[in-house]
Amino acid sequence: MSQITNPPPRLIIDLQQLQTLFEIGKSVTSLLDLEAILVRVVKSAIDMTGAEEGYLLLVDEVSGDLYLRAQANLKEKEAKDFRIKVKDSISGQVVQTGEPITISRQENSLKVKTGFTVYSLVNVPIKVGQDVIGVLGVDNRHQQRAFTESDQALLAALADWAAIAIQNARLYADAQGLTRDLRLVNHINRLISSTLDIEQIPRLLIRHTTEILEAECGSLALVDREKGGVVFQLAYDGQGNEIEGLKNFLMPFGQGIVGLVVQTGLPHVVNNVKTDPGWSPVADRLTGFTTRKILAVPLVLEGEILGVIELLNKKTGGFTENDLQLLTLVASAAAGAIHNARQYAALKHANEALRQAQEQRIASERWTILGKAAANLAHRINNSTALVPIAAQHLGQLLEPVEMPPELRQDIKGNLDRIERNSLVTVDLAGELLRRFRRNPIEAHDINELVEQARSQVDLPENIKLVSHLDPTLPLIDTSDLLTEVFVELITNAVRSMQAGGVLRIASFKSGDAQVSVQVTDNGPGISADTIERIFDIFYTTTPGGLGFGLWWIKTFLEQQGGDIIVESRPGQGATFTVTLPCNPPPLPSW
Amino acid sequence: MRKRILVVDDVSDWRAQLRAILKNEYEVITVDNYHDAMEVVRNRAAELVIVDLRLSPNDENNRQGMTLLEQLAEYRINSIVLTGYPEQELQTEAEEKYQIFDFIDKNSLAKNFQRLVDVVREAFDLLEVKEKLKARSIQAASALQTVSFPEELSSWPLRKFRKKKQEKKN
Repeated sequence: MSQITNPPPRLIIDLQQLQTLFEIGKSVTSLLDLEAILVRVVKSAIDMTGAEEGYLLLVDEVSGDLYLRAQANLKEKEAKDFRIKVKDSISGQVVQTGEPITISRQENSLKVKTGFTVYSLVNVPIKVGQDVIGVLGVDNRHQQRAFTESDQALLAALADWAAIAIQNARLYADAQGLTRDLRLVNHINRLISSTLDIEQIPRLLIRHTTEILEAECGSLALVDREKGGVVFQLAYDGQGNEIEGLKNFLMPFGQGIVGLVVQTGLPHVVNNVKTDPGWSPVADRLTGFTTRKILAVPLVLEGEILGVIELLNKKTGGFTENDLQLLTLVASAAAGAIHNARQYAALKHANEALRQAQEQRIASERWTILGKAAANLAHRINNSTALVPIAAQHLGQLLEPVEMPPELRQDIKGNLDRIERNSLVTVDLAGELLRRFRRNPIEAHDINELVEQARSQVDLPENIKLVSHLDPTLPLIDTSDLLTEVFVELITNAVRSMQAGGVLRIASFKSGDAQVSVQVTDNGPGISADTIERIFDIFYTTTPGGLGFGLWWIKTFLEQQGGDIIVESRPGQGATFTVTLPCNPPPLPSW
Repeated sequence: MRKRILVVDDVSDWRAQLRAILKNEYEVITVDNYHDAMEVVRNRAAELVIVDLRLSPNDENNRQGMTLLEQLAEYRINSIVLTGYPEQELQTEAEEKYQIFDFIDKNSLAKNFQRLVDVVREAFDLLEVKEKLKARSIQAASALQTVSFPEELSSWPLRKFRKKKQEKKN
């Protein structure tokens, strides 16, 4: 094989040019940085054609003008604010016709742009399909050399690479944006459909929207008519951290972008707050944040403006139309979530009220039924069993004057005693039932007075010290004076538990907006866990001979008054019974 | 003549028991309903009546016993309530409107039946005192009639006494 030692100059150039084109092609497919590719294209253009200057102009989609996207060797003064109208310019002509132009002074006097005179130039269109999106050009300003057809062909090849690179970059940006949008929409959908923690939805929406739309801060503010403004509820930075400083901050209606948005009901985009007269620096002063760009959309629910979602400082570029659309979508989702949360809260509230009313009704019915049953039972006992001890006592009296052996008298007396004693247990039960379920009018009572009455009804042994703390400012309570029986029972129990002496503490206090409590505490042996569990059960008693319905009755009575009783105790450390009553309980049922 | 007590109770064992307790000292008449009780009252066959308030199981509001008390008050016959329904409202009404002598709860009687004996005795003692006072005031009034007073002194107390007597007759 013969070796080529001296290739013709033309061929060498062509090989170099091919090498350059190949390199650019590689970079177009491997580099994602459009800027770098386009600069390289322009540099290659002047290298390959030996031109003095090179430039790449793109068509501004909005104005239709050409603007400088990349350049090589242009004077700084010229590069700055470089814009060319499509009309009346060579580059413009290339855009309009889609045909390349190669020209030199030999043929014409050239005026490329006012004050920009060159000796020769080549301009080729950058095409995507049939559309001309820009122009790649080189020129000679001083060097009196015309460009060849070969230069134009090289430039056209470079322009194709540039077109591909631009196209790729646009597709990539679109894909990026689309991915982001999809992520956001998908996220919103997921949030809305997972109704588990409905109150968290606005919070999560703001947090994730701020991250996905690449803002430095995202916040939710709600209208508060009483306060006359918009109150910030929550704010997040772009990393998902909550910003506490803004919470509860009030922006008066009509002030700031937020105040403006709720007033107009229209979204607001500001890409430079310095130029927006509506912007208020108050919030920045509070948080130390520097606001530059704002995107704010109103939260609208069924025509009512609930508040504003606001994003601050998009990290790359300004807020776009697309961002606005997305945030509007987020706002409607948030409004829906707030609506749901409100409905849910209202429902929960209604449910709770219903449950309470239901419980009250059941307690009341239970009291009515028990009252009737107790009264009936007691009367039957009084009309039958009450006779038994009377008969026994009378029989004993009748037998006294009768002569009989002492042993027989002893036996008869024993029998009569047992009859009397045991029948009296039942009679006592009837008496207690009648007393505890007797009808009593509801009146306004000073609870301390009832406590005092109860205390005076119980004999306190000498070895028991009484410590009493009754709050004299308690409101009057609508209740029956059966409540005295409650305290009598509790004090009696406490005293009984302190056989060896001790301290009895009685306290009354306000335990809520419209409720009062009375506490009876002993420092006796305390109550075992087993007993505590059953202490309010009917017929459960630990006192020998006890009837076992004192505490049960207390609970039943208090519940039907809308109140309650709880017990706290640890073995060895005494016990505390706390009675709680609402100031205005529902009326006692009559039967 | 022995003092007479009427016992009104719909439960036969209670009637029997009360009779057993009281029969040694008093003549005891027992009836089980309102109408028979009124028969005895109209005949003024008892000086004291022991009344059970619920005179039939269906008399839920104890009105039969209360009606009987009202009648007794009109006939000025002393009464003692003995009931299995010791309700405060009933007691207050009986005491204030019908001036009953006592209100006894069968339940509390079970602990000490002697109380009934004592109450009955007290009631008769009081009746006796009342009768004596009545007799004395009648004596005093007729004695006064024989004395002559100056017109302005004698007129008002006698007139008042006579007027009262007149009302009673009517």
